[in-house]
Amino acid sequence: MPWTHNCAFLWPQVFFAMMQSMASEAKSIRFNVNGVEREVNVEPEKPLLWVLREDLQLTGTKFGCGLAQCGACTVHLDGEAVRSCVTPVSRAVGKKVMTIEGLSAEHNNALQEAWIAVQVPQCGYCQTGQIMAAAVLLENNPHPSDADIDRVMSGNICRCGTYDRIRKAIHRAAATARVRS
Amino acid sequence: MKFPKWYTRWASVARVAGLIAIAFGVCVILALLLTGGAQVPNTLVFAKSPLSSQQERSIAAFREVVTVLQYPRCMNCHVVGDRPRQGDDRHLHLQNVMRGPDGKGLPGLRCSNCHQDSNNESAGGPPGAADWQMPPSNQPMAWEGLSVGDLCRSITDPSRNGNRKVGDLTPHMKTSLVVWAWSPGPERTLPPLSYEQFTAKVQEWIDTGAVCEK
Repeated sequence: MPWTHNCAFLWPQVFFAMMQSMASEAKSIRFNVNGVEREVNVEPEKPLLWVLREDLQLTGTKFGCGLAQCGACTVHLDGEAVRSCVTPVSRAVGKKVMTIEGLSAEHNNALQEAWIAVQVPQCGYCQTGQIMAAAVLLENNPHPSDADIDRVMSGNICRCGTYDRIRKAIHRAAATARVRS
Repeated sequence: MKFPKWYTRWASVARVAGLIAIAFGVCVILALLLTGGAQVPNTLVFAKSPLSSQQERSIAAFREVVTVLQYPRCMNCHVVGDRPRQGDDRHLHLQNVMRGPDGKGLPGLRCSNCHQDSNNESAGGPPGAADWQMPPSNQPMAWEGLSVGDLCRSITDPSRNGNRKVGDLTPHMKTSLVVWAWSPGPERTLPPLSYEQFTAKVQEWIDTGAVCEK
């Protein structure tokens, strides 16, 4: 009797494993990152965070909780502050992604300057997510009140508790941006 | 006593017409009694008529529907105020999430920033369905604190239900966000009726006149 007959009970498992590997097959995915058209060959359900960090070497975006709870992984997707740890890269197809690396070529974005001037970070791990969320806030509200800032920035957690300095830096950046415009 | 000829002729015609009218009326009443009044319009009311039982059926159907509407999977977004809730204990949504004018959050903290088109299957991960949102701020469809009758009137009132007629509620029950309640992802409980039971009860309630209890 051929050996394959002895292992007949395994065939369903083998079939299931083949189906699973087919389901998670890598595909060519194109999207714009920081103004540059990029193409990656990855599984469509792979989180955008890991495509940015592993496949495109853009490590400024951080992994925090992996559950969209902390905001450390915030990037812009067509101008929205999405949590890249739970966003499948397939959602970015044909869209524009901006990471902290793309916020300004010379690190002279009003927010970045304000962050340095106010010396916001302590450990710094959450700060790229904080800045990216603040950028969307200022884009939609150039003159935010404390309450406006609290409402929008509540989704970004800082383990070191730098919230007061974050708020101060956002006000400063808003003032700078208004002068520049 | 002698009547004029024209009078006797018209009197006999009137007698025949009256008899026909009486016979027709008797037939209608017999027909209503024998058929159980199935086609009686809602405006007619008879003492202990079958119409009352139809209304009662409608009210009973909605009492089952409401067990789903008042379940946390629905109620957590049909809130009074602008803050959605989470979980079976209905705690306030973390991250200070707000409704926003269109019901999809505020710029910088939109629902779709975290909620995708499908559930995140990790325990504690955000649930997801297409068009994840709360009711918009101009029609917040707040159900918290409403009695069964008031909730019923709320969802049948186009000025409070998103401009829907009663017949439009059935297609609404097939939207991805409503259907999501029966596949909510890990660690979330299901409504007390199955989806099939729920939609059948909604249809029964509508077919029996979408009656709301007082």
